Amino acid sequence: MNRFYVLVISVLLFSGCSKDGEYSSSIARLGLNFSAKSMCSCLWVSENDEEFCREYTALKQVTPKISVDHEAKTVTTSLFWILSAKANFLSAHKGCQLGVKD
Amino acid sequence: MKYLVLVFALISFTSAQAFQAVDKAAFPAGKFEKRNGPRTDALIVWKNGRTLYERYGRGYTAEKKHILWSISKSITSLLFAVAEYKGLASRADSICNFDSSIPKEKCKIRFEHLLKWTSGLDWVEEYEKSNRIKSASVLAMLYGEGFSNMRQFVLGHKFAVPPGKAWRYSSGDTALLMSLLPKIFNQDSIHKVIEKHLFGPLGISDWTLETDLAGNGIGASYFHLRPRDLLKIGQLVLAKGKFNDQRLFDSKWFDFLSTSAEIFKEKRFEHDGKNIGGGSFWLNTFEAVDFDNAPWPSAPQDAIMALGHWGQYLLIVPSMNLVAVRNADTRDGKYKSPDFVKSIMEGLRE
Repeated sequence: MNRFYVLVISVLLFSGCSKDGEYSSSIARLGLNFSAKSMCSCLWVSENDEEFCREYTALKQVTPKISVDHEAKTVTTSLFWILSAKANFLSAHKGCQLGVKD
Repeated sequence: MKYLVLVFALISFTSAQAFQAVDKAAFPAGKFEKRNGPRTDALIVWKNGRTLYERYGRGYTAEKKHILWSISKSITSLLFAVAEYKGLASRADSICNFDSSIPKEKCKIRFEHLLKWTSGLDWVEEYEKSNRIKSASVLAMLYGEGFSNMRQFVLGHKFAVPPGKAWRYSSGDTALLMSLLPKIFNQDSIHKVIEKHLFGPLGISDWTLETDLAGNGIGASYFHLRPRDLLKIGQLVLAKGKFNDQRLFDSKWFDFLSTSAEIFKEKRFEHDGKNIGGGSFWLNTFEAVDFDNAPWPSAPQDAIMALGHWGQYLLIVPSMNLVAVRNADTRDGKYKSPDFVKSIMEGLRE
């Protein structure tokens, strides 16, 4: 039964299918990109610590794995090795920029 | 010497006593679980040339920048005000005057439409708590298919109504406005525009505006400023475009930003019936738009605000010579803008 629910939830989250009036990005994609961008800005624009930023970035809809590379000032988020997103810190004035890899 | 110590103690005591209403409402004692509570990060009250209250929370300090979310829209609009004062553009101009690559049907959009959120573009301004997340245009722009080139994403939307024929709060309108600013100022980057024409003259050096992969400034959401520097933005608006005897935009711009679009009274889409949209600021002039109640009942009708997600507030009250700033991460929807304004008004009476 649990497997059934996991399957249903996964289909809902990862689905890029859209009804009329909906955009194509899945909720998982929105969540991954939000997490990567927000974590990056929280760490290197507002200069908060990692624990603070993980709490700030947490979402109800998706719980991605968040990897922080402090040396490269890069945040990578991923879900089940299927989807990932990346944000990089550029400079003090330009802050963080979201890029993505699938 | 004893006399001096006594005076100093009296001043300290008076200062500590004042603004208890703000302390209590914005920085309540006790622990809050699961992101409940106001979670205020910074709050400053400035009146008649003096800072009357300044407090930080949750590890934030005067030196840390805070994300402004939609207060960014108000700052973006002021950059256009500067351009108009310099004679580089007029709010009555078509957006196509500055970019020949814009699809022809979008040339009916004028800058005043973008500034007052009346472009007519079909847009859903809903956020993470929406029950139709996949229809939320702003989320698709920031984190979905629009994130790499937000200007292109906005221009890809059809008209719901012709420009100027309905009011609809839209991050897309401001994103489009921001994307055109470098061309208006004839600069190759938005960061040069900001440094030279707004933040430089205001003495703001530690600032951030994030961009998409195409280089468009994300002017609807992603300015980050120190709280005292956001206060300067408020002081600039309060002084109707002047800062330290330097004029940055025409004083008449204040009338524009503090007046709703005519159509606001007649046709509004997806509006909660509470807030009153002006020229990229929010207004308290409820009688002018036939509302029964003021959005901030405790403040005079000339109060204006810039508002941002999760509790970012900038309050400007010309008749009281007052500016107040608040940064936060409020997730439970409490201590909303009317509560913020009320606590400040009560604090001023203490």
